[in-house]
Formats: sequence, structure tokens, C-alpha cells
Amino acid sequence: MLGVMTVRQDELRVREVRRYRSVYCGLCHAIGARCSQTGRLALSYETTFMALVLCSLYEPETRESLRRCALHPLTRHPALSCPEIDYCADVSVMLAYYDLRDGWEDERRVDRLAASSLLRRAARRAGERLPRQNEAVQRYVERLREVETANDPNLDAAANLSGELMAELMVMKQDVYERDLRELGFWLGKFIYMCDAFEDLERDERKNQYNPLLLRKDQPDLEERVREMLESDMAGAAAAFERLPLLQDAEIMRNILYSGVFLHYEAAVKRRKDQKKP
Amino acid sequence: MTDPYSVLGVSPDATDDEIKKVYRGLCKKYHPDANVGRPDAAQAEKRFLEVQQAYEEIMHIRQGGGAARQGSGYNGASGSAYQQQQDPFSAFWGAAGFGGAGFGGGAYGGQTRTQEESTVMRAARNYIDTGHYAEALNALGNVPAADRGARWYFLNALAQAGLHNNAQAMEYARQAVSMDPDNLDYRRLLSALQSGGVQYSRQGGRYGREVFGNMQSMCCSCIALNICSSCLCGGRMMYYPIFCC
Repeated sequence: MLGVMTVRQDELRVREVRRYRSVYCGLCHAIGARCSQTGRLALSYETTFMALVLCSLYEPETRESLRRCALHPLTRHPALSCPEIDYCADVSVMLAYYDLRDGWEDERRVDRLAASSLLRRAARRAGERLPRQNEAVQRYVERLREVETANDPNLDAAANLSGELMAELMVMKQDVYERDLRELGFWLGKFIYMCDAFEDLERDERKNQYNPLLLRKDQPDLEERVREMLESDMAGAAAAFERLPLLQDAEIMRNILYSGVFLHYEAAVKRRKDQKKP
Repeated sequence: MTDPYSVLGVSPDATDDEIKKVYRGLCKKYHPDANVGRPDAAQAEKRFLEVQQAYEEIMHIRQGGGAARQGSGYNGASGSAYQQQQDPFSAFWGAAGFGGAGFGGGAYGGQTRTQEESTVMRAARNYIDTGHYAEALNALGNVPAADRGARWYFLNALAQAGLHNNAQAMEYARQAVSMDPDNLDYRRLLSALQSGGVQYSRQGGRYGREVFGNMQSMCCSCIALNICSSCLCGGRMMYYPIFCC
């Protein structure tokens, strides 16, 4: 379900790109510290965005170090480290583990089972550290299965579950910012689910899997309608974001919120057009 | 009521970022953790709460909300307010909107409706007016498929929106409009549901998102809605003129 909250890199300043990378690398290293090098497949753009928000909100003292890694063995990259990034690393591991388990249980994909076993221990430890979030992830998995088995035609049924999950994960400490963070998470979660459903439409049809858009797949204006739904979700997310007192890295986060999140949708629309042509 | 700007000590003309900066500074200064053991700790905490409240109020006003905050958020428990962020839509639910002068009472959908509504439909409407959206959906589910007209879709859209099912709400609202294109209430609801997204996508241009496509398809009523909300009628959607679509 993850991978849609990307930056539109052309529009970032050089120092903003560097800053984004240092958070991304920092998160990756924090994940690596939890579950060895292989566990780094847990890294996602969603948890990177979460790290940006939480770092901006709490402005913790961060340590920056130059690090090498398997992906960049030749050059050393700056990587940030702080409690907020550690929190996001735990969340990443939990999300990735349950996502992989889901791939195994739904489709019996052995590669997913193998990958999930690499994360099992780290996910259990992260779950012990973050019981509230761990419970939310498990609840999500269970309730999503119910919606999928019932083949719920309501467009929002599954998306709301994803929203409720992200709302819970976005809250690191239960303080005065909880309400807006939850709201931000809720709309992002809905957006992520719907964007994913649109991207996977053909695949889900082929594999006969639940997708709330399948019932509407023959609508001639489907792409327009999906864009409208996605924009409506993001309007909610953006409003909650703007209410939070976020200054540090605000332009990077706005790049993602107002523009980057649509890169996947745009690519999917283009792909559908190209398929229709020949 | 004290002016929230004076609590923070900023001018009402200050930018959002300036306000956020001042707010962050004051939070640090008055945070209970920063004042442990000091003689004026109690006073600092009081000030801390005032600052939080003033900040919240300013953000709320700036996002187009009125002075009064409506409760009930997307999950109820945290009290976060979905209705605050999509302004024209909020008036649908706000005290002065749906249940009040705008859609409430006799004016509610009365303009094109000729036949009496069935008891079930009336019950659903009452549930919606009182915020019992799930019950409204239950009631609407009892209407036989053959009797599901434009109004059924309209009420369904309202109940879905109340449950934060924004995608489903738009689908039903569109259905209502296509079945009865002359009904102003239906069209108003649809553009209210769309307006947040339209405003949002306009911001996208600043960050490199292709917005030309959106501008083309954006309906005039939404543009009118925006112009109107900023200058004429204090953000009450019931006054919004509809020019097209």
C-alpha cells in the first residue's frame, strides 16, 4: 500500500533535496539498526514524510553523520538521527511486516513470506515499544479483511480503515497536536488507499482481488472521478497540515502534499492512455 | 472574549508563518516542563493554555471558519473537526447552515419537490439533521430500489459525507444531480463537496503540479463560490450563487 508520497524533485531547491535525503537516509539507517541490512526494504516515502512532520513539529536535537550503505557504497551520505526518526523506523518496520504477511496470506506469495520472516523479530520488538500503534495495525489488517471478503461496494469503506490507521500512526506523543495530526493522518491514509486502488485496478481485476473501483471501472470519466476523490482527501490533509505550527522543512512537505503525491496518479493515467492507443 | 491576536502579541495582518513562529516561541517559554519549580509556574501554565487556545482560534478563523467551533470529528473521540477544513461544506452542517436558515425548515429542498416524502425519507432527513448519519443510512437502505429517486441519492450523499465518506458522497451527489439537474440543493451539495479539492489543486501549481487540466474542468460555480466566500457573505454557502453545471 505504500510508496505514493513522493517529492516532485524538479521543484525542490538543492539544499532541500539534500535535507530530504538526510532524513530519508537517517530513517533507512535507523531501520537498518533494528533489523539488519535486509530489513531496509521497510523504508517508505510515507514514513519519511511522517519523519519530516514530526521533526518539524518537535524540532528535536538531531545528530548528522556521514554514512555509507549498501546502496551507496562509494559516496558517504549525510544521515540524521533523532527520537522522531527512531519512532518512524519502528512504524516502518511494523507496516512493512504486516504488508508482507498480507501478501503471503492473500496471494500465497513465497517471496513475501521469506521477506516477512526477516522482519518478524524487529516488528515484534517495535510492537512492544509502541503497543497503541501495534494494535492499530492489527486492527487494520483484520477489518480490511472483513471489507474485502464482504466485497463492500462503498468507495470509502476500505479507505477509511487506512485513514484510521495512519491517524493512529501519525500521533507519536499524545499532546495538544494530537487532533490535527490525526486528521492529517486520516486524510493521507484515505488518499494512499485510493491512489493505490487506482494504480492496481487492472492487476486486481486480473487477479480477482477486492478493489472498490472495480465496480466503476467502465465509467468513461473514471480518471476524472478518481482525481476528484484524491483531491478531496488531500484538501483535508492540507488543511490539517496548515493548522499545525510547522516551519522547519515546510516547503519540502508542501511540495509532497500539494504536488508530489499526484505523481503516481499522473503516471497511472498516462499508462492507461498508452494502453488504449494501440 | 479576548482577541486571540493580542494574546499572542501579533498583528492580525501577520502571515501564517509569523504567527507560527511567535506561537512556537511562546510555547517554549511557557511550557510546563520549562517552568518546573519556578515560583510563577502556575501562571506560566495558565499562559501556556491561553496561547494554545489563541493559536487554535486564529488558525480556525484563517481557514474560513466562523467564531464558533463545531464538535464531532472524523472519529468523534478526539473531537477533531472535519467540517472545519472544507469551508463551504461546513456551513452545510453548521448551526446556521443545514438545520437553520439555509436548508432547514421549509426551504429544505422545497423548491422542486412536489410530492410528499415517504415516512422513511423523512426519518432519514431527521437523522441527518441531528447528526445520526449511520442511522440515516440504515433508514435509506429500507427504501425499495424502485423508489430511489434523486432525493434518495441526495440524502444518501449527505449521510455519507457526515461519516467522512467523501468519495461515496460525491458519487451519490453526482447521481442526484444527473437525475434532477434543475435542483439547486443537489448542485450546491455537489459543488460544496468538490470545492475543497478545487482550492487544494490550485495550490499545486506552486509546486509544479500540472493544474491546467483542473482549471479547464473546474466548474464556474466553484469559482463563484470562492470569490463569494472571500468578499460577500462571510463563508455561508447557502448564499452562493450558482452560475453553471
